[in-house]
Amino acid sequence: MNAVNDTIIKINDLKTYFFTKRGVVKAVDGISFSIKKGEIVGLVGESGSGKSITSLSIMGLVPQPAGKTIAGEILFNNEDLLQKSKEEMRQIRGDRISMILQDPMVALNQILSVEYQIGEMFRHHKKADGRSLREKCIDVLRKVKVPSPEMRIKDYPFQFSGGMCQRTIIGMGIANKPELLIADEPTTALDVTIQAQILQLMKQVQEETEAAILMITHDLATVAQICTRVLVMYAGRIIEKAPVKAFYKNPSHPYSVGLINSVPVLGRKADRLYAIEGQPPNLMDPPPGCRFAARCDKVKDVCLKSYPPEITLEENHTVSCWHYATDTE
Amino acid sequence: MSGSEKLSISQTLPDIEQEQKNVQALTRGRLPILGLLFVGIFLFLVAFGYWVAPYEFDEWDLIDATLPPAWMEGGSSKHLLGTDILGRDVLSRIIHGSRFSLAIAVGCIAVYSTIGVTLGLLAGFLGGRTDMIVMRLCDLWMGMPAIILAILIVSILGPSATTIIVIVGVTGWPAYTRIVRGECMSISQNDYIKLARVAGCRNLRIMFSHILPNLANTIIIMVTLNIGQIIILTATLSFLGLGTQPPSPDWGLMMNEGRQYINYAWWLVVFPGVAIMMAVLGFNLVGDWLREVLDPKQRQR
Repeated sequence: MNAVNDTIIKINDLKTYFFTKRGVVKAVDGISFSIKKGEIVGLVGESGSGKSITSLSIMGLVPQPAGKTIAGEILFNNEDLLQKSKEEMRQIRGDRISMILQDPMVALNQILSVEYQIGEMFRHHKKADGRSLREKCIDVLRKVKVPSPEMRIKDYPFQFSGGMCQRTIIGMGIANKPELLIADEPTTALDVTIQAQILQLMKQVQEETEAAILMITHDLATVAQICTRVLVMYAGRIIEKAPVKAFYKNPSHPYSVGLINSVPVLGRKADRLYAIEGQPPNLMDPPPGCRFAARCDKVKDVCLKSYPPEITLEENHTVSCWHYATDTE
Repeated sequence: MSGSEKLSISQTLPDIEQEQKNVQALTRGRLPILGLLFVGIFLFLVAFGYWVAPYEFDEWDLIDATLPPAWMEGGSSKHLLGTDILGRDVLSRIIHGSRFSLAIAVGCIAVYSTIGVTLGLLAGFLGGRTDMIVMRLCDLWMGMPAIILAILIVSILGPSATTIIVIVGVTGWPAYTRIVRGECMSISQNDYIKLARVAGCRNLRIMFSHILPNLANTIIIMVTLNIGQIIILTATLSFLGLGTQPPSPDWGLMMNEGRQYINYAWWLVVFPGVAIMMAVLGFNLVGDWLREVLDPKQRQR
């Protein structure tokens, strides 16, 4: 499955821990996945499951000094990013790997002009100056369809609407045509009509730049709309990897099933929305077995004792659950 | 597209309300007007004192020595606020002295806000060990009594205006460092700082181009409130003979010189004192007013 030359990024057994006074929080605890050129991969999971920390680990921006990536490899075009120096990482960031942040209204500095902030993407990588810099900034806005970019370029973020801010941020993300774009919940803070526009825009941009996108979200509708593959994360681990169609048709991990069932469906009448009972485990002291065991309705003895192996159900579809292990035995 | 344009129109609505609030805050109360008046007079004298003052600051005339203010018996209309022991015009010396006071205050602020803000940014942004070292240094510095330190520095450098700037500069910075550090820490948590990192900005660039502009309000307020304190501090140092030397028309120095004649020439001490008071009061009132206008968090009271 991994023809080496079109794999953009391959992550092996990544562990990012937070060392706090009260103990070690195992925010990301041994995850592996890879993304191929031109793919849009959705990383879904509830709040606190380690999605954002995964993305920050890739960027080399884990909050210091508490956070530390202690093990694993992040192979970006076969180069391990964890072995890079700070300066090398700084040069890769924004140029070859870029990121789109969650809340457009707070992701832009309110007292610096839009032009200045877009310009930062160029100033540190492609030595653009003066007029060519302004041209490039206008191009960025034009590419993400902000109306009359020549006029708006001098504006400040508070003069932009939420959608325009998010467009600007997407524009900044793709300004240098990165090979990998990490989008951390790019549509969560927007209203539904703008969400659709932004997703459409991202897909279009992705087709133009051929960037691989890692889409972090907790919105399964977003995943269904634009992703090609899904990774489901729970309590610091990836528990299911599947192509989008297989995931919706045949969600395998009990948690994935729960996730899909808890999405309200238009036209279906239900007294109560389905909810998965219980709380995710404390990541300072995770249980030895499956981390979902305490909330799982198919729980068995073995689930509590040891962590399930990754089981391949069909091509590209794997799940970490003892339930399927017994099926194959 | 039209959706996003509509959004931007509706967003301008709260701005109008905000602007009305701003106007209200700007015009509230009479005290700021008094402050602005005092500061205005002070700055006017700094700028035009050279032409306004009736005499030079060191123009002496022993015949007219120790004249009382013009409205008192024996006073002369040529010397409105009287003359000192050498016959120098008190009013002229106060007017010329404003320039000294401001120059020294600006010098002090330039020195210590530079040190204070830089260290505060480093501590707040880098955190960890840098933060700890800078903050302990602050504690150490704040524990040192300024006047004792001043005497020490004067004994090394000798008394002069430059010495004052050095003294105040090296003693005053911890206050700035602490405030800037706190603000910087909270600003660093913002997503736009993360975005700047994502863009590949270096730490120094993030500190000075992305965080520092957000601190402008805080620094303006601090500086305005500080000018008053510095004027008092420099006057104190000059009064103790640690600062500017005669015949400079420094207000503190004038008070010191008049001190021994206070029994029969009270105006030599009182008028420079009043000048100090008015300048300090003015800057403090303006500082309070600026804080109210520039800091929206304070406005909700």
